[in-house]
Amino acid sequence: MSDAVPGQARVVVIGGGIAGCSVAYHLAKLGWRDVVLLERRELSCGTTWHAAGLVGQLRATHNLTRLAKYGADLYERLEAETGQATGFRRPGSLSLARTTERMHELARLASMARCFDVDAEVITPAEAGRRWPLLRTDDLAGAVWLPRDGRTNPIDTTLALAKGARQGGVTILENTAVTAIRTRGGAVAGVGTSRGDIACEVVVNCAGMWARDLGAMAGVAVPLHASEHFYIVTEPMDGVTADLPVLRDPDGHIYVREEVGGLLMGGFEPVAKPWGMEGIPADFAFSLLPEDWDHFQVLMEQAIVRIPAIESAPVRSHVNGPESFTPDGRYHLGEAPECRNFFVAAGFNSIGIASGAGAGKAVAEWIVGGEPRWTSGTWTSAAWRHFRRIPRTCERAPWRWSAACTPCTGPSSRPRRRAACGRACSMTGSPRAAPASAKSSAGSARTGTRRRARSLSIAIAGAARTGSRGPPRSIARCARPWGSSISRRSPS
Amino acid sequence: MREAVGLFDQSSFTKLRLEGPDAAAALGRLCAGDVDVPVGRIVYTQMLNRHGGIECDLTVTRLAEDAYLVVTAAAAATHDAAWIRRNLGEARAVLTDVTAATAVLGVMGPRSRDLLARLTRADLSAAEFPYLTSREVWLASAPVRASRVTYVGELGWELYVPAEFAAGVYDALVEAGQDQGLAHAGYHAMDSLRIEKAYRSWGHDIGPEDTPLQAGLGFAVRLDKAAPFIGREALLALRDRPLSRRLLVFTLEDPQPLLYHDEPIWRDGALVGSISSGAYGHTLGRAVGLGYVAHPDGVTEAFIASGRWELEVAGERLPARAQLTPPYDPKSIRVRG
Repeated sequence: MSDAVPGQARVVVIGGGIAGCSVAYHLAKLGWRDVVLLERRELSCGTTWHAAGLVGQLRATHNLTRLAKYGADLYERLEAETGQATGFRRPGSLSLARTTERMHELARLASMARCFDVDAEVITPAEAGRRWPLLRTDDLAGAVWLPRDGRTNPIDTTLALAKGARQGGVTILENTAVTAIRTRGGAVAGVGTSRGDIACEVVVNCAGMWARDLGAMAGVAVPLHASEHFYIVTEPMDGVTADLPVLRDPDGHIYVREEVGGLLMGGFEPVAKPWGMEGIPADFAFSLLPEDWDHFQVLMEQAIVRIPAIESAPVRSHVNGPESFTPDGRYHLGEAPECRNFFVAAGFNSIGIASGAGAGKAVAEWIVGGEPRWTSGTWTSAAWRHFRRIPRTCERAPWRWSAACTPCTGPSSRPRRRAACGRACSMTGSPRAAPASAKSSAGSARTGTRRRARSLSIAIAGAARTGSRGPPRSIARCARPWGSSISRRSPS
Repeated sequence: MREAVGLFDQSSFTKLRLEGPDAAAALGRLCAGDVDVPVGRIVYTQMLNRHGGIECDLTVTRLAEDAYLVVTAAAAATHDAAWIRRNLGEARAVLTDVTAATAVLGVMGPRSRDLLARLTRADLSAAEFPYLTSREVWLASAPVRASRVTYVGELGWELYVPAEFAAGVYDALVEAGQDQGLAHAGYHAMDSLRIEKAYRSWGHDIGPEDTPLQAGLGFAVRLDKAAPFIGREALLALRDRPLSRRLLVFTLEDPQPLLYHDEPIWRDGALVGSISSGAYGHTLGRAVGLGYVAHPDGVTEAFIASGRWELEVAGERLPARAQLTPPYDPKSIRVRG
């Protein structure tokens, strides 16, 4: 590693997650080689590394769907192009409806899919059961089957984009923190870093949870807030195969996919849990937050309703990784109104992997072409005058999180990873790491599982350090009397 | 609202003031319409990018020789202000967001004139206060800018009230409207009313990738005005070509189903487009949608009239009527009343 950064570059991309690497990759594709990507610690270490890796194609709007569909297409060919495995495949996805109203919504969605050339099929509960053997279907109204929906390994996909960017001439510098954004006459002039200044024409803020603070360095409002996001991973289960489709049960707020022979189950609980009200720690790299089984209960209950077998499955890990959310659920994409040549791609509301490829392409084309081509309505949606500058203090935020705001443990008590435990993690210190690692490396020739498993082992290690992590346990033995609360609900 | 009078709180509309010796020239370069108009005139216009795409959709009111009031949607505040600021260049003109300083009360409907006449001495007759004009009046003991403009397709005024007078004016309107059938109405009602009149919504029906020609807003463009404007060259190049993509208005024949957005549009069994925004038209008694239709040889009147049109709602194709003109009051007789 050299001591100093280049004195100048045409574009500086800040943040080495899926968004930043995608912007750099697409700039290189458009022939821009004078590009530097800065990452404070290591690629993917902020949020990307613990993402679930779902690559759904249908989004709420025309443009967002276009970007997501492009993402699936790019990830599919990225390995052949760069030589870096991504773990991408298309097991398809199932979206379930518990009520006729939800089914109507899903059927509308399936119709909408036609406009985007996305394959979608309305199917019966029985057909859904055939595609997903562990599924309880007697209380379902129907489902939609999206055969081309995908999943990918977020870390490997990010590294593939980074590799493609490097192949195109982009310079990627890790362990380089940005300390200032320099502006002149209302436009970007340069970036100050921990290793020296870089004069540049364009800055792209892909700093994820830190994007708010980074934007503030240039007087740019980036309204987003981190929220704790939970998923669990079970030990391998009978009936779970690698080609199991991704499952979405919006009435139960949950999503489920296969993970090393077990199930990865997470969701979006109705009352979220905000995090980082005092700011996001600078050294939060490959880090997770403490487990919160009480908070996870609402999702767990719903998972047991949908997949009864999960109740007795041993839980290998409980992952609580914070992610950034925006006030209106749309991500920020494009040139900031306050500062010329300052671009933002951040606030992905938990769909960063699915959207990262398209977002990077859109921003790169905007930078190179000097104007947006297929991103209308992305900035404007969240850019509501004074509301854009709402302080982080959650008591004052008009968002729903305010109701859920609970005191968080201070930064010092959060689990951390040393730098050495990132991509070069040695797995030491984790009681569960060895089996997880052994399973994945011995388990299959599928690409991507190795890193994924390592991520989970990190999760376990992180949780173990807090002292809240015991031996693997089944959901049935967790803090709540799951069985009784479930039996009251079912059959509905 | 269609029969008596409705009261809308439109305060969230974005209000920008552009002032300075170069305000008229700068705005003339930004707007596709002619904004070099007499003081007191309101112009409905678009600001275009160099491809002719619609960046902003707004109304411009000339307040003085060197001052304009620019009104746009709430959600477009940051975008539109940034677009104007960036394109002002070296012009001696200052843009200020005055949204929070001014409440906007929309008084809309055939009895709006009678209602307001109880609260002001100003002459509200069609001759003295025609459509698309604006002036300051004393109304309910408050200095109010009354603008005769509508997003719901009725006779009506938007009252721009200084924030400190807003509560008093509101109370006076409600009291005076008691025997006029005054009804409170919100943005969902406005959305239903505007779509019957086929008024476009920026970000849904029109945006940077749609030209005014495709969007059916050619009437608001002045290609022949003295000052060239951003996007003019692109529109000139497109002017004599057939419109291969065009915004149409659809009404479902079945009065029950609802339209929201992105419903596929079928013509003679072929997928030709999708709905950009939809709502239930309560006056028409059926759902109304706007949506772009593509046809390489041009979406002509003959193409529209000769097709069998269907909209797909939740997997079902429903017969629909397609047209270029608004299904409600196509000649705008009510608006000009």
